[in-house]
Amino acid sequence: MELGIDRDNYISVDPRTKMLLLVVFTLIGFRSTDIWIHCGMFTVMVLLMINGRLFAKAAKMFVVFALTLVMDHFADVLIPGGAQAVHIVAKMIRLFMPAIMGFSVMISTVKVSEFIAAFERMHLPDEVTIPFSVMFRFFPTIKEEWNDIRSAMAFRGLGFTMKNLLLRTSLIYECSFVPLLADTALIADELSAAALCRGLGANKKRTYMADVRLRPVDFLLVTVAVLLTVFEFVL
Amino acid sequence: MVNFSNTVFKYKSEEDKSPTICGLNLDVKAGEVVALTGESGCGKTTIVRLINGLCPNFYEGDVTGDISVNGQNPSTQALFETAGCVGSIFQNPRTQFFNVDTTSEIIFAAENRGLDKQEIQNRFENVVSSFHIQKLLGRSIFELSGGEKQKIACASVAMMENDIIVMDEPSSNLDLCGIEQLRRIIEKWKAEGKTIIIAEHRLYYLRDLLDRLLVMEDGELIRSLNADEIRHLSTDKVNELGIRSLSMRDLLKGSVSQRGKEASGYRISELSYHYKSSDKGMCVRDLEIPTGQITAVIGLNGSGKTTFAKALCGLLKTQKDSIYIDGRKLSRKDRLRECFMVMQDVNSQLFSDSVMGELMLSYTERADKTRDEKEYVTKAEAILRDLDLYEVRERHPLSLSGGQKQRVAIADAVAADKRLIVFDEPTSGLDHKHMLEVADILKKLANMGKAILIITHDMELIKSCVGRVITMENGKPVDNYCLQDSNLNLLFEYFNKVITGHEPVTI
Repeated sequence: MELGIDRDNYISVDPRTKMLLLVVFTLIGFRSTDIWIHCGMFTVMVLLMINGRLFAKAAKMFVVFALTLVMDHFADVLIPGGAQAVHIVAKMIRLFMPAIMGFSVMISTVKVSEFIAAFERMHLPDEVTIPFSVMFRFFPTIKEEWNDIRSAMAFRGLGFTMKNLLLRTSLIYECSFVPLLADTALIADELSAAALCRGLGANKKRTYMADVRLRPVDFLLVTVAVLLTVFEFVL
Repeated sequence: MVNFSNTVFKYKSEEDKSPTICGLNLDVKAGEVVALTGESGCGKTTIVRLINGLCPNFYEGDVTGDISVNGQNPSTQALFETAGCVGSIFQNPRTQFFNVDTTSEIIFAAENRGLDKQEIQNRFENVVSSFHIQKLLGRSIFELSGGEKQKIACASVAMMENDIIVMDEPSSNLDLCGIEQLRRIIEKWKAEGKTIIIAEHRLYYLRDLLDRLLVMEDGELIRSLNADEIRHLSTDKVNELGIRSLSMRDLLKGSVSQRGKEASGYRISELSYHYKSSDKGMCVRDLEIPTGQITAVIGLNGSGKTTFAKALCGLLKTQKDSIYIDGRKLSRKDRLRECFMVMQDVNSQLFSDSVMGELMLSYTERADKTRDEKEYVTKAEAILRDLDLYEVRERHPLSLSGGQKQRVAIADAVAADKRLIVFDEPTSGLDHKHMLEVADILKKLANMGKAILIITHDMELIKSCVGRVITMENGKPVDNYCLQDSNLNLLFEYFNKVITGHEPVTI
């Protein structure tokens, strides 16, 4: 098997492009009220998801987005009195969608090694690169821990039921975060020790097997991001 | 190759205590395979850390005396330099990966060293074919079993082609099959002439590989056995040294101790669960989990043991479940209320800021709220005394030792009046003495009339306390018997079947 080939995506997109899209789309998403700009950002993100073989997620997002459009369209006709509230809910959902989708694309379609390579291409020092890449290693870890903690809480009558969440909010909150923090601190420690024993942090030149570089598709995506920014902030 | 002379090491965080390593003299020659064993806290892990430089460069402390590893001193040189000649395998396969996908992890160390791209590609192909890990490539480490993760860790170390390899309790989280694969990897490395130092409790799998076995106590070497002595060590001598059994055959001979009296318990007429994302699942019909008895569920990783336990406890939304106790049918919620699971990683189930607080948390969930809180405190104190936790009742649970934390979780279950307590690998990574302590507590719980179910790979634990054994395969129980002197051989047959019947690891 040849190393350094991106098998998770149909077309390789540079992690730097994805980072840029995440930042720009989040900013525009929070500010913009223009439905066409939102549609444009949604299309780009859905295509990135499909490109990364995240079919189920892409389908889910498509349904949610379509639903907000349907809500907007029919609210005035069906519930004249409450139409304003429906519009606000639809808008709120659309507000967060680019950020959520961008984040999901980032975590699920970029490998830790590609991250490190991308950061290196930007000539960032290890002090920036390593914490960032560890952060991305951590999300799935926390998810795993979280499931354990939730099961443990269920045995103590502290399950995530509606009743518990409403009546014993602070207790539920405390019981889920105390072990989560304790666990993650321990994991972070062991993880760093293991990484150092694999020679991370050597001050000589590191080899990067990941083939990270800007390709035509990256220029295309960056152009889209620039155009959307111009539409939103300048025009 | 590895040389300690008069080495003393003291952790910075333990300044008020005596040094962890007191005057160690040790000389390991090139090509030797050496195991360090002894009770938890005896200092064997620290020796491993002194060799790979984590002590004092990561875990801070004071070193005196000389250490020489391949002519260099790992305490004074940078960690990445030591990483160039020492490869490390750790206890917890979950936390030793920097990457999320297996392929990147295997080449990670080689990339850090700045090897030429073509060289990395060549080494990678060699390692993949000699470890037979084609199937594991390009996968997320979160989908792998403990054994598979440890294999990836070994492959990553093999990429470095270091002459010295240190391992810190590498078998702790592995099933019998995973341990056998680990054994074959060590065998291969030994044949290649690598120097290997392993801190370990489980010894049976290393017996024929070891050139020396070092027994430690309180930071000092107290016994050194050579290859010949290891192979001829009598069972009595093993017991006297307080170490884990050196041979599965010896272990599974002789008699089992007195078992609890079985009473009728949870009758499972049908219980099935299928995962949405895969074709895996579990289906159990006509099985009884007796009360007053310890029942062990054995089977390889992926055989459905944990799924079975979780479904039984009501954690999973099962497709079909009809479970009865005393003729009464239990719903999923009933079971969640009656059952408790002591997890392998007990950290994630301790929520309060003191041990006593933990138990009071259970009070709020008790069915009979008629009794007042004061009475409950008295009761909780009795439970704590019983489990040897009374002295630490005001301490924060997370500041306790691993064994104490486990007992706090058990105390929670007793305080909440749970009738079925499930233990997930309660003795992984425990030395002989602590394993027996756990066995005693399990017996005590069974005598209280509780139904105890343990998921385990630990044959020594099974022999010391288990009364009934259920073997699972492909999500179904295939064997279910009462363990007696006359059928101990069934366990040995199972063990043999497991370690001979799987794909090869080495060339």
